Amino acid sequence: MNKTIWINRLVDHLIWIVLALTIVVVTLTIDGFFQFINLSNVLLHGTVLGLLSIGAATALISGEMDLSLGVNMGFVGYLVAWMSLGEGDIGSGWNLNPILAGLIGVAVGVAIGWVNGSLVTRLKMNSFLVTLGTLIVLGGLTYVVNQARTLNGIKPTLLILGGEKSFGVPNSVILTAFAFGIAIFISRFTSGGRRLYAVGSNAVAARAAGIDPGAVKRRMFMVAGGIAAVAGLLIIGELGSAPANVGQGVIFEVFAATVIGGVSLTGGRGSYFDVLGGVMLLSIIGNALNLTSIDPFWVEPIRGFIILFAVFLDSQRETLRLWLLKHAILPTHSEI
Amino acid sequence: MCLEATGATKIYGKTTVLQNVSMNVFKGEIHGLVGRNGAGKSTLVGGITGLVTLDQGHVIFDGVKLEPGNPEFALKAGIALVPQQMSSFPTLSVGENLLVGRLPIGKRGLVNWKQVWEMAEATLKLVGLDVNPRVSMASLGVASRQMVAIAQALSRSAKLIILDEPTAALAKPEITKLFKLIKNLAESGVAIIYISHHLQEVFEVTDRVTVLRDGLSRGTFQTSEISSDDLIREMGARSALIKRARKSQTHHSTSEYHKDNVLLEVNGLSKENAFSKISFEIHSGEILGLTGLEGCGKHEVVQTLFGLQRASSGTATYGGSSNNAQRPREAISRGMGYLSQDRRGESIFEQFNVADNLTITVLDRLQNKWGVQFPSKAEKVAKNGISMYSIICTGPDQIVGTLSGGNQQKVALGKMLESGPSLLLLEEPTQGVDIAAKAGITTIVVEACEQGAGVLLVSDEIETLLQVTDRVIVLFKGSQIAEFNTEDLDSETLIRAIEGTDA
Repeated sequence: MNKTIWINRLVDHLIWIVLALTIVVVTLTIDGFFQFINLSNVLLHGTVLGLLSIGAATALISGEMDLSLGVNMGFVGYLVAWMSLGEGDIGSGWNLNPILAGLIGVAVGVAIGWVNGSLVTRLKMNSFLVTLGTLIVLGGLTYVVNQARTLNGIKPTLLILGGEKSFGVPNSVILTAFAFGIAIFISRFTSGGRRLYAVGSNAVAARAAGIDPGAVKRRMFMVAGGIAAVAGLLIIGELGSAPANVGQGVIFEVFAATVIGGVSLTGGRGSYFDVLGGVMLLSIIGNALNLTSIDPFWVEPIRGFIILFAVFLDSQRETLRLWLLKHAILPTHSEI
Repeated sequence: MCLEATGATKIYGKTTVLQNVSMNVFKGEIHGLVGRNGAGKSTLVGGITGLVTLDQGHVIFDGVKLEPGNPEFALKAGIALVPQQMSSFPTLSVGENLLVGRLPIGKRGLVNWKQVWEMAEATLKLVGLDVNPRVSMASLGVASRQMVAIAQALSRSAKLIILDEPTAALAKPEITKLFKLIKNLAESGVAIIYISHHLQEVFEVTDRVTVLRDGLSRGTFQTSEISSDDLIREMGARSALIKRARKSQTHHSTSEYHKDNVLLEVNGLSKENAFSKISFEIHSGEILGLTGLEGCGKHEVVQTLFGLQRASSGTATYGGSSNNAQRPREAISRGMGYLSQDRRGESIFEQFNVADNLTITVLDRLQNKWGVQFPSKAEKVAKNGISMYSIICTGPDQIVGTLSGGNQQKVALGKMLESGPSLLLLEEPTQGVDIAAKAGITTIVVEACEQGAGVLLVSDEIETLLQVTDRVIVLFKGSQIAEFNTEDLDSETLIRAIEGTDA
C-alpha cells in the first residue's frame, strides 16, 4: 500500500525529477551555469513566465483556455508606462502618479478577463476562439496607443517591482514565489479552489451539486487577467522600457510550461506546485541554450524539440505509472 | 426457417442474464420480442448479431451456423441491427451515411460522387424516403433518420432486420409510415425482429411474439391468439409474492406522525414537448414512486423540480417558496437533493477521490472563519460518510472512478445527503448495481425517510417500486395517467398502466 502511494506521488510530481536531472546535466556540461549570478538570471526569467503560467493553469483547471494572457500583460505594461509619462518622453503627457497608473493597469487587466469570461459563459462562446480574438485585438491596441513606439524613461516607482532587489533577491522573484504560494494555498485549502477543480472536472455534476459553473469561470478569467496585469507591471520594470510588442508570442511558452507541469488540457486536473516545476525547467533550458556557443538561430528549434520531448514524457505518465506499479522497483517502506 | 437460435445462455460473473433461450424466425415474418428491462432482450439480440459472445447455444441463419462473437460475420450473412440510439454521422451527407466504409472509388482512387448519389437514391427508394442524398444527416427529422438506418440495412442486402424500439422517438403519423414500410419489407421476404415496450404496437404489427422474463423464455405465441392481459402476465414480475420491504413496522408511526407535513406540492406543472399538468404532493416520511416508459417525461419532471430545466407553467411549492427553482443551487438551499440517472455524467467526479466527492456540496461548512479549509476536516467528514453509507473503498483517498458501480452510487447518494436535504429526488438509484449494494442503497433511502425526509423515487424497476414506495404515479407520453396506493397494488396492474394499455 505504502509503495503504491509513493509510486503515485512520484509519477504525479515527475516534473521535479526531470528538473533535478536537467540541473545536474546542465551543471556538468555547461560552464558558468551553476553560478549565483546566472541562477539569479534563471529565476528572473521565470518570473513573468511563472505569473502567466499561474493564470493559464487556472483557466485550464476550470476547463477553459486563456490565450490572451501574454498580450494582456503587454498591453497593461505599455498602458501603465504611457499613462505615467510626460509629453517629452513621448508618453500621454498625463504624468499620472505611477502607483495610480499601476492600479488602473491592474483594473484594466481584470476588465479584460471579465470580457473574456462574459463572452465565454454568458454567450456560450468557445474560450479558445474568444481569447484568440482578444489576443489579436489587444496586440493591435498596444500599437494603437502610441504608434508602436517603444517607451523609455519609465518612472522610477514602476521599476521597484521588476527592477530592484530586497535583501539581495529581485523583488519580482519574491513576488512570483509569493504568487505561487497563494495559488497552491487557495487550490488546496479553500472552497473556492475546490470548486474550480470541480467545475473543470465535470461541469454538469458541479451544477447539480449547487455550484454555478458560469460564475466560477467568470471569476477565474478575472483573476487570470489580474495576474497577467501584474506581470505587465513586472516586465516594464525588468526591461526598464516598454516596447509595444512585449508579451507577443510568449503564450506558447506559457502553455508549454503549464502542460509540462501536468495540467490537463481537458480540465479538472493540475497542481500549481508542478506548474512551478515546469516553469523552472523551461527557464533553465532557455538559459542553458543562451550560455552555449550554439548558433543563435538554432536556439529556437532546439528549444522546441526539448519542449516536444517534455510533452512526450508527460503523455507517457500513465504508462510509466502502470509500469512502475507492476514492477514495483521501489522499496516497501518510505525510504525516499 | 430463416433464423434459429438454440439454447442461448449468457452469464456475467454470478448473474445469468440469459438462460437456455431458443427462438426462431421465419422468412417474411415480423417477430415481436418483448420483456421488461433486464429481461434479456438486448443480450439475446447481441447473441444473434455477434455483438455478445454467448456462453452456450448457437445461432443458425439461412442454414449457416454463425460464428459466435463475430458481428462482421453476422452482418455479411445478412443480419442488420437498427439500434435504438442510432449512430450516424450528423455532419455528413445522407448518401455518405448510407455508404459509409464502402464509398465507390473511381479510376484514380478518388471517390466517385456521381455513383454515390445514384446508389444512395436507389437505396432511399427502397424505403420510400424522398430526400436528397446530398443534404446533411442532421437536417433530417428523427423519423427520416430511422428510415435511412433501415435503408442502410437493406442496401447491405439484409435478410433479417432487427429493430430495437424503433418508435421511441416517433410521432403517430411517422409510426404509421414506419409500420407500412415494415409490412412491405416482410411481404418481400425480409424477416424482422421487432423489439418494443409498447404492446399496442406489438399487437398491431407482429405475426408472432416471443416473451422473455428474467433471462428465460416464456415461449413464442401467435400474436392473434394471445390477449394483452396474458402477454403482460407472461412479462410479469419476478414473482407474485413480492413483500413490501417497509410496510407496517416503522412506516406507520412516521407517516401518522407527519401526515399533515406536506414537503412538496406540485400543481399543474407543465413543460412543452415533455409533460403536462403534473400534480402531486409528497409528505414527510413518504416515498412516492414515479414511473413510465422511456420518454414519458419522468426525467424532465425531476430535472424541472431541481431547477435544471424550466417549466412552462405550473408551480412546485417546497422549502417555504412556491416558485419553481431557477437553478440547482436554489433547490439545494431549499432542502432538495437530486441523484441523477446518469451517474458518471451528472453525479460523481470520477477523477476526484471519495473525500472530495462527498464534501463538494458542503464546502462552505468545512472552512473556518478565515475561509481556510483543512483537508483533515474533509477527511473526517468522508470517513464518517464511508462508514455511514457502507462505501467499500481503501479510504477517503481512493479515486471514485476506480470504485465499483454500486459503491460509486453510494458515493453519489452520500454526496447528496451530506447537505442534509429534506426532499430527495432519486432517479434509478439502484440501476446497474449488484444485489448487496442494492440492499445498502435501499436502506440508506428508507432511513432518510424515517428521519422525516420525503422521497420522489423515479424507477423502471417494478420490484423496487412495489417494495419501497407508498404511492406510485404513472406517466404516459407526458400525462399523469394513474396513481396507486402501493399497498393495494400488484405488479400486473402497474405494468399495464405503464404500458398504457389500461389508461
